[in-house]
Amino acid sequence: MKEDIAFNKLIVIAKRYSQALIKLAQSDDELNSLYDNLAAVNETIKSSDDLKTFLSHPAISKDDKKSVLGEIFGGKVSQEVLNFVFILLDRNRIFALGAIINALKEEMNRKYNILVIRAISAVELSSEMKAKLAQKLETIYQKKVNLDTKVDESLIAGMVLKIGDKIIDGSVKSRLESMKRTLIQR
Amino acid sequence: MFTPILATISETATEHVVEHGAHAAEHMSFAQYILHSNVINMVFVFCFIVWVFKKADVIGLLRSKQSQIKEVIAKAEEEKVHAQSTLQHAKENVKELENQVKTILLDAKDSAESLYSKIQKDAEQKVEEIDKNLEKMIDVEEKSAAEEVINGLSKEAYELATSKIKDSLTDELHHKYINNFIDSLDETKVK
Repeated sequence: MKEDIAFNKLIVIAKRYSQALIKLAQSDDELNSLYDNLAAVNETIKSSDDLKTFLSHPAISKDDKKSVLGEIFGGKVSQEVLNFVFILLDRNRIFALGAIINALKEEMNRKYNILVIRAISAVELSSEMKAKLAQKLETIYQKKVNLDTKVDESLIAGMVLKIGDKIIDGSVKSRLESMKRTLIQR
Repeated sequence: MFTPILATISETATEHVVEHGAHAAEHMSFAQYILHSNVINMVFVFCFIVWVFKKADVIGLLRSKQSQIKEVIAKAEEEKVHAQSTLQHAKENVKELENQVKTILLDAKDSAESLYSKIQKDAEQKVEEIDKNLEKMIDVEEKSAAEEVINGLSKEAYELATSKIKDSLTDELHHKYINNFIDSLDETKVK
């Protein structure tokens, strides 16, 4: 219950910051660049446990944290992105950076009418299959489809699509399980 | 006490007899003399008895005794009446007791019959319940056993089918499955 409240609070915070970032960007290119830079900062922080510990340590001053981040990312990311990270540090919201990036991606997808669909298949999808699938889904949804593919051998054969909350299961595994359930029910 | 009196009487009589005897010897015979003497004796005895009776209040005693006897008789009568009443009461009690015994016996019979009926009914119900429970238990056991068998069979069938499909799958078949799935997508399925 407490965790749910904290999670919901994080989602709200992330949404507010992501909306602010969209307003900040003057053009689509700038917005894409902003997203890429933020994603790069986030990946760097995520990949280093020392940096995570350093940023979350209460005994280290915010200025020292800013100084270190400036040294790491200065010249590599835009000043706007660095300033945004400093704002998060000042407001003790650096932990929400990942959620802000996800929310920003969602906002961008909404803005550019992009639908992100996760396609999980038993084998790697060929580029033809990906194109065919994307085209089919774009025709159905009348949106640009961004496929997020993943391989899961436990599906045996076929594939599963996750579109928002909806799941379309075309795997052999689910068919076999369905047959098993039918046998048991009889 | 009587001796001086008798002696006095005797002396008087003797004197009288002597005095009179002198004349009697002259005028009366011996038989007459005896008769007179006896009569006098009788008078004396009678007087003596009257005196004794008066002195000792024999009549009063007799009356007192009679009164006591009457009282005793009356008391006895009362006791008799009381005893008869008690006897009557006892008889009534015995009769009542008999009735009570009869009532108790009837009640006991009724109670016993009712109890017997209740016990029999309860026993029948319990037997029925046990029968039902037994049937249910048998049903449950049957279902459980059937489920176990079906589950086992289903699991084995699932594993066998999975294994067979995996063995028979080629890249071509994989692509065919995926292409078929993509082809089957339509608005009703996706939205």
